[in-house]
Amino acid sequence: MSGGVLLQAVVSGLSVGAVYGLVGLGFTLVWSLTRVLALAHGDIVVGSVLVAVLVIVGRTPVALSPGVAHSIGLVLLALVAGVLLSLAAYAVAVRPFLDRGQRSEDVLGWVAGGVTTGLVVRTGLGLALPAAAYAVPDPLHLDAFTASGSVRLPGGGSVAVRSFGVLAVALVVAAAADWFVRSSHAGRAMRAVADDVDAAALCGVPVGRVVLIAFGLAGLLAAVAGLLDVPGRSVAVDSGVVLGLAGAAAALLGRLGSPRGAVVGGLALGVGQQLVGAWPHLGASWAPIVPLAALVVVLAVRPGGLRAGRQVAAE
Amino acid sequence: MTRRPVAPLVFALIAASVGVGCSSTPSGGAVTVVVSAPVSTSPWIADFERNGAQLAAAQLNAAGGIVFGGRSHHVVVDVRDNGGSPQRVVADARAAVAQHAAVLIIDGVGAAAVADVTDPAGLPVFVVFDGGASFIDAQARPTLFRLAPADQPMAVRLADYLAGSHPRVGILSDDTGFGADGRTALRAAFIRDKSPIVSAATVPTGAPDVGTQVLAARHAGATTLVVWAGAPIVAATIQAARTAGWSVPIWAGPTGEDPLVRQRLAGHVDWLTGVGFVSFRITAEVGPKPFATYRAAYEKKYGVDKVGVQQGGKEVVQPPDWSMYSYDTVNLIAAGLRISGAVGAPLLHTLEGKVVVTGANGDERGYLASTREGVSPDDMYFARFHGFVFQPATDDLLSQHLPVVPQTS
Amino acid sequence: MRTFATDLYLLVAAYGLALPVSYAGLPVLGQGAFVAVGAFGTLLLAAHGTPLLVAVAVAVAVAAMAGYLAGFAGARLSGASLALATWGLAWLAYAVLVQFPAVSGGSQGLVHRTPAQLVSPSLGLVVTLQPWVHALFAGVVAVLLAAMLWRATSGPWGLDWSALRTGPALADSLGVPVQRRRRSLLSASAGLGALAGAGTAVLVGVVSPTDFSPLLSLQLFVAVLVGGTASWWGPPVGVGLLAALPSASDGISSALNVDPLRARAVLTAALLVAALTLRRPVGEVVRRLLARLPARPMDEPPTVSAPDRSSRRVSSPLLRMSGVQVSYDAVRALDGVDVDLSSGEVHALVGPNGSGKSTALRVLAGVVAPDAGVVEIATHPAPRPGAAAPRVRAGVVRTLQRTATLGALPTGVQVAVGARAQENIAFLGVRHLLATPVSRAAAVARRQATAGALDLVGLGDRASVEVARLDSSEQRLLQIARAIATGAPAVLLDEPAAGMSRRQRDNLVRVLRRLAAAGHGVLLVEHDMGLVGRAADRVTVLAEGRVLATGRPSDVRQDPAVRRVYFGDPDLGSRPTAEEQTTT
Repeated sequence: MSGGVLLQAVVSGLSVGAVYGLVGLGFTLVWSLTRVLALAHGDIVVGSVLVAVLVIVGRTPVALSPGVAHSIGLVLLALVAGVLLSLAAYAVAVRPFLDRGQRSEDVLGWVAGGVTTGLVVRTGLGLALPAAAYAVPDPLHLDAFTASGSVRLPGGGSVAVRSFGVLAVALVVAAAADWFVRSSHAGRAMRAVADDVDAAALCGVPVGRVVLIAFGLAGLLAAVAGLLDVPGRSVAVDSGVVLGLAGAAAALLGRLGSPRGAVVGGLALGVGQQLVGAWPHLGASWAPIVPLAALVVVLAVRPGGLRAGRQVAAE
Repeated sequence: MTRRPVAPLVFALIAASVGVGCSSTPSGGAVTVVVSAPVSTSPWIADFERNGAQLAAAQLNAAGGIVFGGRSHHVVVDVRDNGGSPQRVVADARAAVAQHAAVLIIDGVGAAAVADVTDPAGLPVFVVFDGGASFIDAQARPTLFRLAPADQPMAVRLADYLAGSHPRVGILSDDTGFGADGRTALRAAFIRDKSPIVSAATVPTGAPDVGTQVLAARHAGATTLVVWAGAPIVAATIQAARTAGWSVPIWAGPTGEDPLVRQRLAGHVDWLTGVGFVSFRITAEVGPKPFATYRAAYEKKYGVDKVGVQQGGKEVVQPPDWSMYSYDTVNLIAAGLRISGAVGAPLLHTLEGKVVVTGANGDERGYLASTREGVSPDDMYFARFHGFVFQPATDDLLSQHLPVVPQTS
Repeated sequence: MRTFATDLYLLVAAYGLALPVSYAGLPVLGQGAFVAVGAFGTLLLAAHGTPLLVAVAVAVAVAAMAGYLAGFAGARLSGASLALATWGLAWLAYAVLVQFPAVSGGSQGLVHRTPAQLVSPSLGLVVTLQPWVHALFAGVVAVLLAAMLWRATSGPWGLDWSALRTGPALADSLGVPVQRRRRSLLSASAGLGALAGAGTAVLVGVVSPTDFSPLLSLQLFVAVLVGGTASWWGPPVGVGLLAALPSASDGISSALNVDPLRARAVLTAALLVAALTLRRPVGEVVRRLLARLPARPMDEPPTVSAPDRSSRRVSSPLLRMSGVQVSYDAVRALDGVDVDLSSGEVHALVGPNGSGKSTALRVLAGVVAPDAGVVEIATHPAPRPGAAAPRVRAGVVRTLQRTATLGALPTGVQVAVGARAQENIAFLGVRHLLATPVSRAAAVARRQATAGALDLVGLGDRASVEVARLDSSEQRLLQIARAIATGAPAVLLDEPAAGMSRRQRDNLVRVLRRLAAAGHGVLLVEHDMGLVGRAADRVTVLAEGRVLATGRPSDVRQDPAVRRVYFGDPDLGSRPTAEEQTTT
């Protein structure tokens, strides 16, 4: 592998990984507060953006830079859709299976609930967007920084300029979410609930509302991840599942429960995946297997990994 | 063209004239066409598969149905969802046999598996989408016909066409069966033509970025890129090459005309300069009229398929090309029934060289006893993008005389 | 007939999945992967000339082995992790099948001639596998499975499974081999899934990756879930529901006037979500219907009288640790501690918070490995720390600190789970299915042990009561009953009196004395010095990881070192209550 190819793989891997990190962040947040794995999370990532596209652009979207009004509308609508989908998933598929302390009680129940909700989101969107793949406009205009939309790298390689945009926005949003969990009033309440739900309830923390805020925040992060990832590629309604599993792998790699860990895990996973894909002896058909294999292997090797991460943002 | 039998044409003309002369025949019978389509998994394939068959059925019924055996028969189209599963295609085939259907139309999934069901019943099965190499075999699967372009001859045609420019070839294919078949065929053809292959890469279907592979091809000194993959990878390849400032000629398989490619590149029409594809022709030497007639009927019934981009201030539209094949299938079966007078083995026998119809694009559709491919290599052509619309290439003997299909409205 | 046979095979796969899901409570979302192993394995082998039956057997064996191996990783996982891991596995298997068409035949799949034939040249026999043959085979397998599960529920397997499901940590402490049971259930589940896959593959004659997409895993999981917990009738109910989904969604779409083919996928998904809410109601209805049938043995209270335990045995050493050191990071929790326990005595470990008494108990119980020192059970070296089953068989059992229960299982059943530890009979589960004399004798012995343990703690009349009806002190006593039912002579109790009233503590003292009188050795960690004074024959005082004093409670209380450490501590030393003095 030449130096140019290597550098290119690393840079695009960081961009892919930043999205995994954002998805993993929402995953980790939900886990900390409820001990529930958000199994529909990936479908919300893609679903939120597609809902916004359907409403504003229609059923034949093209990857044309949208105007200012459309851009703002797309972003806002995607964020709202993300929050609403996440809250709906919570209400339908998670809440019925929690105990009074909003903690996982009926594991079989929420597992089935999460997975089937994802299926509903996919198939529901599939009614309106039946094609094998769609091109989605980029309301964030991440291609617009250079005229060609790409940046030359030393060694002869070049990457789409949006890679840097994705990386930057994802890191800023992740930092903001980290700050929110760490320093805001609601965030402190979240951490209290994550650490000890009974003590938090005794201290007058409205546990139910805090959990709702956490799910809303996770939906928001999912929508941001979708807005960053989806316009950069061809997307179908069922592209979300594997993205969600990659996010889960990222969260596990960075130790579940730790927001910063999720982002770092995502970056590592993204770079690893791109390197495997660029490795001449393995070849790109192994790349899609990387996140899934990482997920299964991490769980097999570190069975206590889930229990190890009790703290949220308390690292 | 030389391989086409002439005698069957005469049969068909006689059959057609008999059909016209029997407008007062008693009606009552029904002819069932079973369409097994991936409605839930690939609805876009299912749509053209179903629409073409239903359009043909509607036209036949409006003309009084299919007349044979002294009676007029109404055409019924039974659409079933196979979910992309060969198991369900086999189940659909059983249902088709049970209701004495005239024909089973499939996209290609399950083609290798239905023979055990359809051979004993003599039920003809038509593949109208999949161009895979593995399953068409007149001896082993006598009931399986293909009325769609086969991938292998298309790849060979492309290699032969490019050989004239003495290219150093970089091949990109995806990890689907389509990609794998194309890669094998392209390799063999380029080697035979003594065009050096300087790089070959396989990319996963869902890869958002193929910059690495394109860069590798460029470093290897490729002067032509051939991408044989699904539309997302075709779009990603063009994007990766052009954003890197590489204006290399890029040739794609039939997925190049997929609207998705243009939708992905909507903001950069200049990137399509130097991009072409090999596909099946939409018009024939006879002129644009047959297709224009077909298209008008299709778009009247199902609406216009907009690509979503504009050219010269007008909306670019996608011609309804793939649906021609299920449309032609139903018409061929109707003509066959007029001769055979019965479904099953007699119809199957008739299809083997005794009936030919004129297809929606003006080409003749028919089979010999020993062939099961309905689209000959001569019916494949090359097209290049001019802005967001494509036109037949002017430097290929079989493409240059084809009429241009209007693509704006 | 063909569809019916396919549904029956689906039922076999669902029965397989019910083992880990509805019996052991494990969220397994990857059954489709094992069904795929059976299907692709069979057709791949058959394509290479392997006789069909051999191909099926090999594919099933490979899947069962894969399930067992997956169990090595999976059985240790918590529920949530297992769900994620198996869901990941379902997608991984699908991705691999799609990525490597050489194995899966790509979108066309692998094809086999139908109807398949079984040919035996030696017998001159040719059997054509018509759909009805498949239906018969799958039906017989399904009925056998249902009967087996119905029968197993009342036997040793049923006890172990219900303990796995309701409280794996507690089950482990009672000597149930949790990991091993989970592994065998996962293995059996995988094997049955593969059998179903193989059968369907031979029946239909073609398999492709699409047929084993994660949707199959999801549908099977929901089907098993709808049927409810640990019920032999659950899988048929669930699979029946699955089979009815397409027509139900067609009905809905025709009522809504939408294209049924398009709407089917989303309606099916929505109905799956809705089915989750059916879980409890369906279970209730069927349970009520079944309640009219005569009750099964497990539900009966033990009626056998307790064995006579009054004979006091000769005091013998049960458990000893010497020179034990344990450090947590930089903190030394135990620094050369010696503790021993003999039969017929109650020995209390006391000390201020952080003195190391709980750590000492955990070392003796085999939960914590000592950095240095020796632990012996009845003068033999103790098994390595890990799963509790070997310890319990060697003669040491412990209770958990919090009031853990095995879900809502009736009291008698919970104690019977403990009594299982005494049964060291090979293939007892299988013997029970066949109702052999050995298994019947074991059942009688189990009932005796259960009744004996309940009598000993004074819960003899509460055997058939639901645990939720017991008050907190009775639940504490139930913990002790479960522990002594294991037959282990050394019983380690961690704060058994927590949350008890004075009267309940008095009762606990009587129970502890009865245990000692019956020949048990009881080691307890306890804060309540009054209770210790009255119940214990011997007290060991720990402070800062060392033994400060050991001896009779009255002597220890006079020890100057103890008085110095405990100065000002109201529990010990300064002012013994009148009650304590009278007792000791």
